[in-house]
Amino acid sequence: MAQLLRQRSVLKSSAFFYEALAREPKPAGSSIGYFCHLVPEEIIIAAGFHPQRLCATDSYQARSGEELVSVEACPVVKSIAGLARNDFFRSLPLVVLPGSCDGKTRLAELLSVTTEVYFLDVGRGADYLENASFWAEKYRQFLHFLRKRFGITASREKMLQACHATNRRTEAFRRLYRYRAENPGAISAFDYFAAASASFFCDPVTWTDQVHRLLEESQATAIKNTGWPRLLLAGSPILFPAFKLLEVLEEAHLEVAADLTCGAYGHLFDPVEIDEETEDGLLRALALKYIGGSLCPCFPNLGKLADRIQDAVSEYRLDGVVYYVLRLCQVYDLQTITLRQILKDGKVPLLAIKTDLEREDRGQLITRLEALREMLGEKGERFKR
Amino acid sequence: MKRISAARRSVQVISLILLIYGGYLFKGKQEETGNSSLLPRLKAPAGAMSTTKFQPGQILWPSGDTPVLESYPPSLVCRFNPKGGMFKACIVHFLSENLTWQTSFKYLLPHLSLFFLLCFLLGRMWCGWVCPIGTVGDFLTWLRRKMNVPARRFPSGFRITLRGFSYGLLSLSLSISAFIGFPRYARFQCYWFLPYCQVCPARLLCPLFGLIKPNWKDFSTGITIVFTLLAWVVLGLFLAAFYWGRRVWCHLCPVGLVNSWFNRGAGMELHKKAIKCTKCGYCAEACPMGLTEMYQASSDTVFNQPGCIMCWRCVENCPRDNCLTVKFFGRKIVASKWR
Ligand code: SF4
Ligand code: SF4
Repeated sequence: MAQLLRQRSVLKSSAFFYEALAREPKPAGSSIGYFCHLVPEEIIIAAGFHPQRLCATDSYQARSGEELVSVEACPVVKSIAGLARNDFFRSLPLVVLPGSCDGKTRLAELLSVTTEVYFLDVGRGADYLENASFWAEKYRQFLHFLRKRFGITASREKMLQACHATNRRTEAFRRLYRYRAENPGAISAFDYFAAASASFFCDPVTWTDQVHRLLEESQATAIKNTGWPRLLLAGSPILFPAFKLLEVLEEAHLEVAADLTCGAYGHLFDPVEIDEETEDGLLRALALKYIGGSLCPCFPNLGKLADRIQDAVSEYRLDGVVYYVLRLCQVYDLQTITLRQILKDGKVPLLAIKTDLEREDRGQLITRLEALREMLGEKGERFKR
Repeated sequence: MKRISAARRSVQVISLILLIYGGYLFKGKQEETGNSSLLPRLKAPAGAMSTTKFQPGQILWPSGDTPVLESYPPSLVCRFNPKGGMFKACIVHFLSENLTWQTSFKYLLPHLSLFFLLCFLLGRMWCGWVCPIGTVGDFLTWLRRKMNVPARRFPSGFRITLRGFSYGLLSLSLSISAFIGFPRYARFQCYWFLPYCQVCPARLLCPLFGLIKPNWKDFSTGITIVFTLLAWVVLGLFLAAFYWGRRVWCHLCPVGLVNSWFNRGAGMELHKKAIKCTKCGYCAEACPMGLTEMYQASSDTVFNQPGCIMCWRCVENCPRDNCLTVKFFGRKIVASKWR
């Protein structure tokens, strides 16, 4: 899959990301696995480990996971369960699971049979005033756990260094994000999401360099603007290798100009804004980066998501929104109706697409997306440059 | 250090040097008789406090030097500066003194107008960028950070309580000042003159900058003992508040209170564009005054809370470009921008 995409990419520098994705995960004693963008990578790095975000949506693994969990479980849960049967997974010294949704909470119990699992409680509140201290306390407990469990110091200075590294990564990502939104067709959605997925396990410094390289190559390359309607992709994460949605969007001649998913934007867009360089201040800043600004539908923050969508649409002059619901994921599914209502008032066209990892419904999806394109075309050139 | 903080620190240090050491820097201008300012020089009426005031050992101590400029800017510039300092005194001193002296309003008007004008232009920026006592406090905060001691955060109710106390403090000292101005009660002047200055931490701190010993104590009579002890307690509270609580003291400061009346409607404004906000809370986290309103605002707002000292830490910490903007009479000065 990675090979295929790599050959299709017009940019040579994207090879780094595809190669990283194609590589077999190494059984490494120095890695700590985690799920969701709510787990503070900086703490893991400061502890001397290599953070690996293991979030996966892989139909093969999902089928394998079905034997472990229910068939009706969400594809992400099933994929993780399938992944957990790998040797690589079992060799990890620790896996961190946040209590974001019910599926993850149950998974933490399920996986602890074979692997050491740290359950990171993040609560359900999303309000800074009420929850910031709670989040920071949970992060502190996590830090203390790592210190005790592995007998390491994970000093404040190390944490600061890690924050600087991830901030530089954020800087590169924001550059990439803005560049793509402002230069239609310059970097394909495949390259973009591959880069985002690769950031899950790449070292932040290397990844940052590679993104800058990708941008420089793209800037030097003549861009052929396709003139396709430009969309914002929101909703469930697009994770390698489940790029089905990107494929059908491309086939329907629609361009994903920007996204708000937790696999790309949610993982990389927000910086750690350090106010106080005390340990307490750092932990609070991390909590605000990961949980405070999160768009994860496990928190009551739908208004914020609607704001983000409207802001992106007007800032980058996009034509519409595709809201992707991974079938069987309740939280994304249930907020569709309210979101549609809010966006209707804001006159932002929204198409909700509910699908799973299997390939059967491709034809049907393309038909629906083509209808969307026609509708957007009719709306006139309002957003066109 | 980030851009805005760096600018603010520089302004703070320059102001501190000017306001406290101004007396040394512009020494040539000082003459006991001449008026160095365009504004009228306010003096005690003949015969006032002729009794025991300003005897050695008294808590209040006139430096004997005149300031470079005879005016009262909106920040805590203390009259107890070495060599008289740059300006005369703070607004609370100004009001108290002249209430006691029963100075005619026509002499006060130029001073008040200048004060109002400066407040109207910059609001409480005077607290956040100029006040030398605030700068000393920020230094304590910096010290705490270096020592890795976590900041104390206070609930918003505490903030409101402090503001209440501040009103109490200001009205009490002004009423006492007015009261002792009447000839019948003039005999109290020797003890109750400038009641707020008696306990103000600046009175003890400012002379120290010139390596001059402030009047630490006066145990001669009951009232002076009370004032001495109170001054010590207040100084302790002041240091503790700045060390642990960032700018929590500034909610109590009566000078800040007077400035805060002009915050709303001041030329300097803080705007929030709600649609850009991700509710991350970084702004509230960074606010040294512990304000949370700009985090909470869910519609476009001009955010000039009375408590805001316009330090713009919220602006520089907001990770969303153009979410928070500072405007001066509608002209954009600076906006939140991440890198
Ligand atoms: S609201 Fe902003 S400008 Fe005002 S005091 Fe707080 S951080 Fe400073
Ligand atoms: S820092 Fe900015 S984005 Fe975050 S809550 Fe405050 S105003 Fe909103």
